[in-house]
Amino acid sequence: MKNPYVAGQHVYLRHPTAQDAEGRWHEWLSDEDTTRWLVLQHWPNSIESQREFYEASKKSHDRLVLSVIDKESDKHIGVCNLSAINWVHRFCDVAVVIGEREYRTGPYVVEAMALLLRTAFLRLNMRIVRSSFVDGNESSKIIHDVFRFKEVGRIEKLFWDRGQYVDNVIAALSQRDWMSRNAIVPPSE
Amino acid sequence: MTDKVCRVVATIMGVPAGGVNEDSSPASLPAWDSLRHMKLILAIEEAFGLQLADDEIVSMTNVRSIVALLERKREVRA
Repeated sequence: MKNPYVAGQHVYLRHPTAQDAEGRWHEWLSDEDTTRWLVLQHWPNSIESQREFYEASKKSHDRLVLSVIDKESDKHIGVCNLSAINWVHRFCDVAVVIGEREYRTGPYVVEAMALLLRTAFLRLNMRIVRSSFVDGNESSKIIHDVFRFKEVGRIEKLFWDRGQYVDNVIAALSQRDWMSRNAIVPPSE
Repeated sequence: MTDKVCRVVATIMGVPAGGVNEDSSPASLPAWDSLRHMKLILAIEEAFGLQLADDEIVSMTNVRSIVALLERKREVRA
């Protein structure tokens, strides 16, 4: 492992490197299938724009971007982030993308999400992790169910998906609920 | 325990019950992709009346590890 920020059984998360930005990262965010459910990622991505994102992420205090690395091969397989971090109210948004197709089977996305939530709640002391997904994205719905996110609302027919407008589902997970499920004593507020 | 886990795995993976045993894993069952893996986690929780912690969820990588996890939890409950 090289500079792990948080490590699990199969993957670890670390700060992105310039080499990551020069690699296949930009291709993942151009790929039609990968970006279908990424509601803000419809324009072709380039290595130049990936470099710009990487440089900006290094200086950001409201977005923690982490590369997802396969422990066995030390290969950069995806990216995840906690974004829109509000340090006053202690909430943020969460997202995980496994870009390399051969790693979309198996435990990688589940473990990356588990490590990211642990980081949000235990390391950064976030109180609420928010998320949203496109209604009809079965994988996204199920990973939210696995980690016990609660649906807290939806915006009807917000997104255009291959010929029809579909709902935006808004979900949230509290630090208290996460700690309770993981047998960690919640702090008093 | 193992038989029940195998039945749940078979149902989620859409394969005959006899096609799943203690050695079954994503490597041996082509249907065991990440989507079905997550469905399996939820199905195991429902079938055994459990709510799993994150590290337990992550440890569920094949039939053998699922059975081992459930046996550990049964010992803790006993």
